[in-house]
Amino acid sequence: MRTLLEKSVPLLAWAGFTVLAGALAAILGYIVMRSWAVLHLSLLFGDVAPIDAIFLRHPVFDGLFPAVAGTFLLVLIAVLLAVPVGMAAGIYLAEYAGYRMKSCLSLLFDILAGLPSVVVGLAGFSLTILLHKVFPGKIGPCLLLSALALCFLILPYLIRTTQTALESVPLSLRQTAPALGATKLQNICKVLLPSKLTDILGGIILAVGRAAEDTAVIMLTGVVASAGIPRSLFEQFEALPFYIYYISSQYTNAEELQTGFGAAMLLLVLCGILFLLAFFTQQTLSRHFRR
Amino acid sequence: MNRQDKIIIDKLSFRYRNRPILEDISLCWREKQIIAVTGPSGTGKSTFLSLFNRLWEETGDGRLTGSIQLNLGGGLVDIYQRQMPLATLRRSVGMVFQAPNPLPMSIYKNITFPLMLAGRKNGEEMTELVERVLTQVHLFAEVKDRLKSDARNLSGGQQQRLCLARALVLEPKILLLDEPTSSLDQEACRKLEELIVELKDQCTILLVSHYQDQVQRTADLVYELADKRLRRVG
Repeated sequence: MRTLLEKSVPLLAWAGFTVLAGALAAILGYIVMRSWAVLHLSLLFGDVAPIDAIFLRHPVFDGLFPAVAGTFLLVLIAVLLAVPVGMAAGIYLAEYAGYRMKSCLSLLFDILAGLPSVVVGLAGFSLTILLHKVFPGKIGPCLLLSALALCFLILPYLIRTTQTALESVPLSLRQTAPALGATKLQNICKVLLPSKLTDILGGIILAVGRAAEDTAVIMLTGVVASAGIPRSLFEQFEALPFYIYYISSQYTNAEELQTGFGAAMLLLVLCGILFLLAFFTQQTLSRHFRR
Repeated sequence: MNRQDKIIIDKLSFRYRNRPILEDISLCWREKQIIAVTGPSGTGKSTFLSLFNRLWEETGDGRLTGSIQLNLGGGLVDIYQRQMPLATLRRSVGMVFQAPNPLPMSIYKNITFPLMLAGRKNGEEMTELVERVLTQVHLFAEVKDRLKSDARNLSGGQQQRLCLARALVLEPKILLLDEPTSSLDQEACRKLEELIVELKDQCTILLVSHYQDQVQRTADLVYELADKRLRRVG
């Protein structure tokens, strides 16, 4: 009986992995298949020459370049806002907070992590209305407010990842630097964080993915179907997830739907580029600390 | 009090999480000696050692009464007085742990790390210092061609000698060794024991070990920690 159980566990694990890998391959394969016909430069730039579009010499009206640029900027700003705050909060919880404070804040962040994105979007929307009332004509739905709302959405991931990573440092390593005369801050910055860089970067990669795919939050705070590339943080913008949602619910013919699949493909490629960026940052930092 | 007194413990008691570990210990040790503390597992030998560099404070929840005075070069000082800077104390009282604990960085950086913490700038002088301490622990010949490689790739014995070199680079007045050979094979263990005896001329050594033969080979004074008290046995 025991032998049977021992043998069945790896089999079940393999079965689970195969189902998951198969599902992923099927989804990716389907998107590639449906988008293949539209995957050329005109999907991105329309009739405009790529160089002119990239250097903002000519606006792109019938291509997805503004949506790609909008998504990239949105994710970048949201992550840049969330990473320092999330890491600082994670460090506080792991290294400085007392037992009661830690329990209280952990519960709070868990609730925040469980909030549906549409609720975060509504909070962002309320903030937008408030700011619009306080600064009439100056602030409305815009890139910055969308990035701020997204920042709130991804903060719990970053906080939890940093906290868990730091708490998992073994006591022997944790005590090494203090025994050599390091202060608490020196220990955190020079030993604990570098030793858990891979784990923390893993959290950042997850946050990038979460920020890139969310639609509900940006729909309520700044994204529109046609805005061009934003010239400032206070302008409205286009984004790929919103375009996919918009086109899949409003399409009038098969070509339009195919463009939606093309946008999905572009979103996957964009996420891949951002993941690779995070991966190379982690590799470079790891090499720097180990040398 | 004698001019050569290095460590004076006066009515020292220590409780950890309300559990008494040490009670009313008073002792006086001279400099350049190897003082070994033995005893059964779980009696608080490692905790006793951590009182000398106040490392127990990192994990908190302890309560100490009495005093420990150390001569760190400028006469005896009570290390638990408020004015005592923790970093200064820990740079003067080196420690090597039970299991090798190289930092996740290169061999070279592991040695220079405490110097950087002390505010020393990287330069030729530091490179010479690295070579000197690695030679002292008989490790330089083995690692001279890969000083920039990850210290965690060294063998267990090499890692422990690296940790000893790292503790020695600050020229500590007192060296705390917490069962430093417990995770090493016989050959590495023998090398480290020889090193400990060599180091006696340089600093006072407090050695926690549960190997009786090792204690007999290396120590000048032997104490047993049992029933919360230290009793001299050799």
